[in-house]
Amino acid sequence: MDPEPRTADPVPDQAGSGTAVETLGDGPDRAAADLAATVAATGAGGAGPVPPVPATAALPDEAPLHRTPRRRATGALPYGLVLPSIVLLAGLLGYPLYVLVKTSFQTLDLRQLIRRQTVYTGLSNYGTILTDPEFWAVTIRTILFAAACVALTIALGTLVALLMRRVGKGMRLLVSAGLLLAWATPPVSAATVFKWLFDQQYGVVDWMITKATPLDWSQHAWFDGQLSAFTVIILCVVWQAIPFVALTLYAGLTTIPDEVGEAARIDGAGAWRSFWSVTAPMLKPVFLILTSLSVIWDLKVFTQLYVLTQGGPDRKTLLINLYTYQKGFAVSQFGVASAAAVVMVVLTLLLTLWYVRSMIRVGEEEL
Amino acid sequence: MHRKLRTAAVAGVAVALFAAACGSNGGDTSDSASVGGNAQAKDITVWLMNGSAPDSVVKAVNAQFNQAHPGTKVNVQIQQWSEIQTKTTTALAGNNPPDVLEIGSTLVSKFADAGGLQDLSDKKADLGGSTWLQGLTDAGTLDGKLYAIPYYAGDRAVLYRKDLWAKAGITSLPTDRATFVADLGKVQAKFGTDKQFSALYFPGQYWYASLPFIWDEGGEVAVQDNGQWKAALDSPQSQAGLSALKDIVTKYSKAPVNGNENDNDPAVPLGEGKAATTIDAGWKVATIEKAHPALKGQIGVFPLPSKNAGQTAPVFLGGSNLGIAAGSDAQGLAYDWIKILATTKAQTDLATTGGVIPNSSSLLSLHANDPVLSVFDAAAKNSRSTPNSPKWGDVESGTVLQDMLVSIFSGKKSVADATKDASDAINKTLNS
Repeated sequence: MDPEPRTADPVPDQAGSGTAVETLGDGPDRAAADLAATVAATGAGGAGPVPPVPATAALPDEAPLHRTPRRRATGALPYGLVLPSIVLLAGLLGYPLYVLVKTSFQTLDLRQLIRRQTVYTGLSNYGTILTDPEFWAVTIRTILFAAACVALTIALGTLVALLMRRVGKGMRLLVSAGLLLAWATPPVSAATVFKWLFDQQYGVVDWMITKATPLDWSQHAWFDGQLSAFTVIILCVVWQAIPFVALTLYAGLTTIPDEVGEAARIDGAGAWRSFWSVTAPMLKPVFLILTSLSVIWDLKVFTQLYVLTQGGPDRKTLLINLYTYQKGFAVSQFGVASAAAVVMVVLTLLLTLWYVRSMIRVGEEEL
Repeated sequence: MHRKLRTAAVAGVAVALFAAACGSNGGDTSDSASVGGNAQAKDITVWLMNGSAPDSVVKAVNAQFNQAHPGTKVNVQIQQWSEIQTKTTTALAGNNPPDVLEIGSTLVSKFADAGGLQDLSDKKADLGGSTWLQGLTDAGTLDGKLYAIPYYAGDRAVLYRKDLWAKAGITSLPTDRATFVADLGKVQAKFGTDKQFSALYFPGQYWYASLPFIWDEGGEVAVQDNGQWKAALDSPQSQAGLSALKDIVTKYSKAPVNGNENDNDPAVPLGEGKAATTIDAGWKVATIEKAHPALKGQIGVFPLPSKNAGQTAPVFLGGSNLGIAAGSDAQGLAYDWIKILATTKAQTDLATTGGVIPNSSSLLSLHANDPVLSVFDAAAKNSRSTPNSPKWGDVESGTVLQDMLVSIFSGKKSVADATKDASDAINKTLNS
């Protein structure tokens, strides 16, 4: 290993790792603080190559010396730096959340909305939601839908990232451009395009299947069945989700030195084996983040669903976000809709907590 | 270990990228923008629906209004029918609602009940209310008070391609449903080799065009009994009508079963020759002829025949009313504006250039010599509307009828099951 500390760029390294951890650890969390200290120490020391051994153990003298002055030097500065984000978050996220929770305890139908009446009804909206059999069907459907989307997104995104590692520079540029374009397309436009692609009468997909295969799929109605309607929705969502995953994983792949793969090859590992046993474990933190973010993202799919099926046929593709929207805007029961939204926030929060915990655990294992 | 740092950095970048993606993925469809802008009391904002008054009529009304109120700017904004309930809700609940709103006749009581519209009861005589169409007056009235005045009415009839029907060997128009269905069969047999061809183009969610089949058999959507609404879609009569319609749709329509008349506009396949017949509004004839000049005079119309020979099926009488937002800060100006639009001159223009049924029975003779519009006027004489309940809008936006039709036409549910489910939903909604 490299015992010589790299003194060329210690400051950017510290700053970089420091902010990354701040974002993830979220304040006074004990584990996060420990992690921050560990990362900072290793960053400064430039040693400690053996993963499970804490930096302090590897460099018993140096680490405390480095730590103490840094703490004093930073003082209030980090808080000052993070203050704008906190103000923004409180305004743009905290306040709506507060209104949402407040509304969920009110009867707020069209009448109350227009007449500006405030009618508190306690938990009755939650009772309405939690005893609605459709709510549970929709929730389970949403979770299954998100699982399918996430699995496909990660799998296909990984394949694209691996592909980008292999192809030449020009082709890689082309693939990146394509990914960015797919990503930059507004979801409404993307969904509208998909709707036309799969249109029963004028759709190019039915036309192509009919032309290219012996099957006659002209007039095939994609949106008349639950499964085929979901197929189109999932395709549309995954198509737009892949670029983020692929580009991030590609960035992750570039951090893996070629020698590692070479060593695996010399030891006789095939492509499959070297991916599962070498590449994937090294990218585990990236995979975890991508998976968790995708879960959150796919749980709240709305735009594509709204444009493509509006929950049809016969409410069979209704997902939780559209369900909430319908309770609110279609039948003007904003209190009930807020309760449904709160339940969804809690669901998403639980998954996020799981993700933060997983992240920290990985950090403790590997750093 | 630098690898790990970099991995952590990648993770950080991932979070940043994700935040960016979130930003572009807001999915924000609530559009409450441009509600009057920062209107001074001198300006008024008017919401009219897509396809209501032609530009020329609106310009004439504005010109007349400006003679009385020089310097007042009338900001006319055209709204789309899809999502109009959401938009109107948002607008009326906001601080700066539009001053004048065109509201679909079935939705007036919803917004009136909620307190969004100004009571216009004492203005009825001043506006010439004695000759108003009864159906639209009822639609604009809630608990004896007038909240939105009749604007125009519209109904639907059968639109067909004369050339295609003639090629299929049909020489006279059907006057009962059985003959109508037999004619559709002839047309389908003649052109059915094209798999996309519909003898009758009928998108599955098209509930306006489905109601006549229910009413024709003596069925109802819901009836009022002792102040309670009782859904009647699962009555034997309603089911008979829907079964007859299912038979027609499954045999002769290639329109998307899960489609609606907005996204799958019947005028398009009719104009392109992919459909020979549909059920639609009178102004669609002009739309088709404009898109396909070669079809001038080739689009014929006749009232939907009843199952009883010689009669027509009751049609849905739609239309719009005009209301003034309770929250408007320019009520006087708003009133002066709708008064001009509701009067004889503007209504005459509307009936002749717009092709709609005017709001007054005294103007019904205007279409007598028009081969298309006279048919729609005649059909309107046997017309109905939806249950006049403040909660009816929730049935519409809850897509209860649409879901029922889709599951019937697709065969996912039997007529009995589908109508039972829809009736349960309607009972629950109307009586909540």
